[in-house]
Amino acid sequence: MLQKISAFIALLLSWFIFAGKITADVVIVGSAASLLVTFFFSDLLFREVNHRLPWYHYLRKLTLLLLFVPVFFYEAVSAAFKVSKHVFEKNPSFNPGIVKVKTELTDITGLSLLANLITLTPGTLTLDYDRNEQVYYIHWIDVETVKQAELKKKLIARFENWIGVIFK
Amino acid sequence: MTLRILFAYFLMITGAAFAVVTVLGLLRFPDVYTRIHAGAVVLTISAVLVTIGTAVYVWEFFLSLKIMMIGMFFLFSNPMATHAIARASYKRKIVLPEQYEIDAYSDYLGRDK
Amino acid sequence: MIIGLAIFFTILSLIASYRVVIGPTITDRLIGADTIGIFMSMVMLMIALYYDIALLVDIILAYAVLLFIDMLIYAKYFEHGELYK
Repeated sequence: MLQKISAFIALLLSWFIFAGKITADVVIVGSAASLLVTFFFSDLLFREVNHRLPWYHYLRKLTLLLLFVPVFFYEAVSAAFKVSKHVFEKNPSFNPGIVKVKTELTDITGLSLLANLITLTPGTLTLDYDRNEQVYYIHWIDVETVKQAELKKKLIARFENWIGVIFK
Repeated sequence: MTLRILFAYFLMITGAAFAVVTVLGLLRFPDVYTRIHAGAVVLTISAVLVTIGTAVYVWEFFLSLKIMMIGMFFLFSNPMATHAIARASYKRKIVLPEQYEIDAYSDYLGRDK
Repeated sequence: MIIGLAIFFTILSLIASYRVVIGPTITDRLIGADTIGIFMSMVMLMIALYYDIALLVDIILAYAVLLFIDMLIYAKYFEHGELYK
């Protein structure tokens, strides 16, 4: 039930944004269309939860996610500056390698968010995720020895802590 | 020419500079996967900065929100697309890295170096 | 200023088409096509701003979604060799 209500509210808000104004006819047509879409396709937008949690738990998660977007943006901008430093070198030479990073997260939304964040940080690109061993395979742009790879894995543990707070 | 318009121009020009960096990286980098890095990170940031600058330039509530929605969509969808392309090109042996010293993924797929 | 940015992005996408035409492998071509698609949506945004067409913003949103789905379908096709599996 909570899934259907939240899907209806999200669809109605996006209808208001697309319509560009809030008047009586927009509200009537929009709620009819959102109700129709909610009735058939609501399980594509939000997943059905197995264990019952109080409603303010989801409100806290949504607020933390909205607060997370500026952090995401800031990390991406600083990453872009670090990659553009490589572009203006005279001979762009790298030592690429593919390393294995273990993670503790189990929630699937948090996993995909962490994969996006890893792709946007400087010099890393997520190649695959293995569900049985809970490891990411990450293509690293500049890794020379195994010891250095261990040191760089601490960078990723920082993001993992943030996302673990949201999806605990 | 108010301060808001100047700020919007600043964001747009920063985005255009990052776009130049993207194209230079696409032309200059030696390996396929490093080219994907340039396409994934810098291109996303350039698109998001230009859309935020446009939203500040327009400055109407609903239209700015709609333009910001385009930027948010780019911020979340472009890394996913580049990840899918990179994984496909590794798994189907379209491009194989030869001289990598650390390569855990080929062990996972059960290939020899 | 605005129309100058539109022309600038067009020239950049022309330069990026070097990777689509010459690029040694399929992956290079896909990355070049993704770059050109995003630059073209930026050009459309600038044109919507210059000629004051608010309707064009909806078209850009649909274009961005189509670009994303295109890239995913190409990646899936080149990974599995077929579309339905």
